[in-house]
Amino acid sequence: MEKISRYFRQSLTRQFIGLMSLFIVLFLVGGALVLWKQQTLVNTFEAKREQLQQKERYAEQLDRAFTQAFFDARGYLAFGRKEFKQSIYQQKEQVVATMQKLKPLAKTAEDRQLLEEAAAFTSYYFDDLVKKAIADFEAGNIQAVLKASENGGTASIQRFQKQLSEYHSSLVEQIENEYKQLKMTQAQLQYSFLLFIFLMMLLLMSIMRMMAKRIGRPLNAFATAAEKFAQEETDVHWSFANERDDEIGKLSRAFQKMIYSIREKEDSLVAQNEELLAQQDELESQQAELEQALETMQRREEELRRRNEFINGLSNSLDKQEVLDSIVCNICKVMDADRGMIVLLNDKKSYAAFGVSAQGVQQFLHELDNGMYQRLQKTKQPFSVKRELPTSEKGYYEEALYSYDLVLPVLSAQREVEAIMMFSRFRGDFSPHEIEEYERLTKQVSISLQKIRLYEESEKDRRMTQDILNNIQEGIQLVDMRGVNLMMNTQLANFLHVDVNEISEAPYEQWKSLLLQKVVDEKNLSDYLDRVLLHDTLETKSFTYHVKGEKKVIHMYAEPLYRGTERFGTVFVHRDITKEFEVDQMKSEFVSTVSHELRTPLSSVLGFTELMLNKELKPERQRKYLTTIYQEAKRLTALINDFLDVQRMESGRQTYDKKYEDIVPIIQNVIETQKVNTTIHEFMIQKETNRTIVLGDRDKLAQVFTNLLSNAVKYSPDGGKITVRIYEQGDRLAIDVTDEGLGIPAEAIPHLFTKFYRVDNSDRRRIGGTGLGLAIVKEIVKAHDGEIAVTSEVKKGSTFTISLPLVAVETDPQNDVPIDKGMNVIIVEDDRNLASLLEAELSDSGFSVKSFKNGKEAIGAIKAEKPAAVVLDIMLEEGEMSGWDVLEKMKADKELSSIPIIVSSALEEKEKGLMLGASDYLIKPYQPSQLTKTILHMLLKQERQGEILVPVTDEEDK
Amino acid sequence: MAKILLAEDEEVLRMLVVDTLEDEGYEIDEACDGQEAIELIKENEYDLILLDYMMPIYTGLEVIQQVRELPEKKHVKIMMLSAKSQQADQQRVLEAGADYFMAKPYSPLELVKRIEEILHGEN
Repeated sequence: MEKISRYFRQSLTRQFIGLMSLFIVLFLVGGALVLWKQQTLVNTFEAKREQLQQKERYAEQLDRAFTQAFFDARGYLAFGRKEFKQSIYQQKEQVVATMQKLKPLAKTAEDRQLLEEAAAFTSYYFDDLVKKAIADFEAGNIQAVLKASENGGTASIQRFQKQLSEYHSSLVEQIENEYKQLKMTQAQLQYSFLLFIFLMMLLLMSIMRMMAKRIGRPLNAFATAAEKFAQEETDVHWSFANERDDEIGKLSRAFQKMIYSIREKEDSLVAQNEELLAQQDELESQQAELEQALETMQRREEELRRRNEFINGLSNSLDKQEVLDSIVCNICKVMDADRGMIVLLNDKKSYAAFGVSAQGVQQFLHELDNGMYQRLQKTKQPFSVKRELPTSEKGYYEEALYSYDLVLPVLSAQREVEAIMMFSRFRGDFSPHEIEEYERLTKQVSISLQKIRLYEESEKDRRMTQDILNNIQEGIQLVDMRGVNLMMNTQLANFLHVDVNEISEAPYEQWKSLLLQKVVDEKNLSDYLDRVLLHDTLETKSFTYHVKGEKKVIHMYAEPLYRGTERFGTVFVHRDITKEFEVDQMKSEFVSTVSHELRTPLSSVLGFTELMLNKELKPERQRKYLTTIYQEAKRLTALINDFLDVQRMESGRQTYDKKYEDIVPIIQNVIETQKVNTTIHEFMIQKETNRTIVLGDRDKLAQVFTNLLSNAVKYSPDGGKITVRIYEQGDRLAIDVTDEGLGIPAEAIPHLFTKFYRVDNSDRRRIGGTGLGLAIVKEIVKAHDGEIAVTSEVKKGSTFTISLPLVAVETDPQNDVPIDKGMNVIIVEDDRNLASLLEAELSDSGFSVKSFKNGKEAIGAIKAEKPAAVVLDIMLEEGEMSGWDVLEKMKADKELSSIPIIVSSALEEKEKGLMLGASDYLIKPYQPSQLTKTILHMLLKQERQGEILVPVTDEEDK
Repeated sequence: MAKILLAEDEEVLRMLVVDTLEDEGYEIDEACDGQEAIELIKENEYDLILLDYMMPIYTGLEVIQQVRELPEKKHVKIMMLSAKSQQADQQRVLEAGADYFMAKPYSPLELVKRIEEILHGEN
């Protein structure tokens, strides 16, 4: 019992299931009882009814049997039929049987009474009455029969019959009663079942209520407690179901345990928390410290970052403007300034500005000159100014806005103010700390400016060096001690067909192979380079090589490079000595040729002289030898003279006494002398122009024609015509000298004027000559601004054509330029001879001319005469006004400024002259005709411009 | 008498040498240039050939080279007469195949002496 109760106490489920099972069992038992009762009632009712119905049936059988027996008795008695009599006995048996059957059923008094009466009647009826009646009847005593009937027979029958019927109806009544009884009992049963159900429901509800109570209440308490606990109320009542053994109890205990442990933990947590709080406080204070430190650091970092940016900006570039821009921009950032600018003081006031217009900059520069610079120069200290912004600067601000301007001087290493920076900030004033910091920045700026200056200087130097290296003729290469190329100038790079940058830092082998490719004698050059670079022997410092495929000769030499006393490399210089080489070769060839040319006549002279001295010779032979000696000596003399002439002319030492000469008489003279030497040649002069005056040296021109004509004679050994044709060719005078001689092969023509060149031809070889004649002709013609050309056909003859500039001194009046005779020209020239020459020239051209030696006189005359033009020498008499002065004075004078001036000077300063206002500039020596042309050209130009009119002269008068 | 060829483009010098050698009884042929000289050498047998260095068409040097290439003329005696008197020139001439060298201006009498030496020394 104890166990069971514990079993249930331990679990609510068990309790619930137990109670519910009990409830179901009770319910089932109740239900079964009711059903069983019901069944029992019905069964009892059925049994009773069956009994009653049985009795009823037996009663009916009795009734029927009696009734039959009555009928039969009556029938028999009436009809006397035997079957009736038999039937009566049958009925009697039936009655007895039925009565036998009824007997066990007779439980009630009534039954038993009926049975007794039935038994009594039966015996009366059958044994008495019927028997008597039958016997009477048979006896025919009908009266007796009737009498017996009347004496009660009939009445007893009737009474019995009535008794039977009463019994029968009592039976029916009993059944009905029984049924009614059943109904009532059933109804009672139903009511009691309903009552039972109701009770069961009540039971169920009480179970439920109890369970709910057992679960709900502690749960509720639990919830409340939990809630309270959750709300951290301290007086929570926990022991609400601790005594219980079921889940709630367990839960409660666990909960309590938990609460206790939570409380405990909480307590410890609280303790910890307190500790933590203390720590936290400590940490917070530390954090605050750290934050402060961090803030400081961040500020520093930001400062540093800006400064770095600033310094990077400074060091990123070496371009001055870029650096200045960077300085201003970055300092503005550092300062948080709205505008700023920097102005350099020591050069062309270079500046950079941020947020300042060009006009603003100019204004600032102006302000600088108005005292700020002096102030800064004196104090060398930054200062800041607060000023209210004018409307123009305020933008959309309506209220007063202030700008804080900070002026920072940038001091050079010598503590000179070299730049001024100014920054404006609208945000707020500059603190002393800030100013101090920015002052430090100016040192950076100063260093940076210094750097730029140095860079610019060194860049200038470098560029200059580079330019020098790249512009000199020589190829230059610098290599280090290992032979690695350090630098190569463009000349050498171009020569090697490489890019300067490509070859930079090329190893020895690389550039060497490039160089060797270009060279004819590569083996020797390679040896030379190896000697210089690898074996470091500088005794063989130079080397000369020929360039492959070109006629170039390059001389290269190496020089060691020292930095201090330490050698760090070698410089190679490649010099193009092609010209020198050629000249050298020519020289040695020339020497060899000269020696040959001189030795030949010398050999003759010596040889024949020796023969004459040592041999007994016949007089004819002596004469022949002497003639030969004489001729050879003459040839030698001519050769030496020609040779000296050529040398003098080529070296430019030949002086020419140039005058205006008519070429015709010169040629005639030469022809006269040549005629003497030949009898087989016919000379002709073909003069096709009257303008035959040239500016030249009479003797030298004569030499030209002598050489040409003597050649013509020499090279037409079979004689023939030698024609000299004089004609105009454009503005030049041309003279042809034509012979009908051997002619010159075409391939020889280009070499014709080369010294000692002689056409290789045995025909010509017999003709003596120095080989210098044409070279001399060429030199002289060249000295006269002339040209010489040759056309020739072998065996037909040659034509040498000389053309010389034609001097415009007209000999034919037909060609005169129309000039107004009244047009006057003033010549300012201190050289009397030149003055008179020019005077003559201009007079010839139709001008009226006056000349003056000095500037002062000339200006007086110019003022008085207002000439059409002035010819002005620059180098006038010493102590006097120079030509420049005259020019300037005239151009300054309104009245004289329009008079055209032609400068005539030996000074090659045409640009200066034209700049000062000269109309033209002639450089002495010039041909006088040039002056006429220039003046006319100028006047014509002026005429076109409508300034003056050149009156037409009546040419017909002449 | 010995037969000598003189190749010399200068007429006066030819005259000088020819006159001198003819006086000594030599038979002389004259050539005015290198080509003429080569042709004469091919056609004739000379005891000695006198060559000027500077000659038209072929120089004396070229004449020597061409002559020495002819098998039958390998050993013909050649004397070079040249104004190029420097040691180097002389050397070059001898290397090219000349046997003797005389510098211009030469003395005709000395030339005769050299020729006599050359021709008689052999005999």
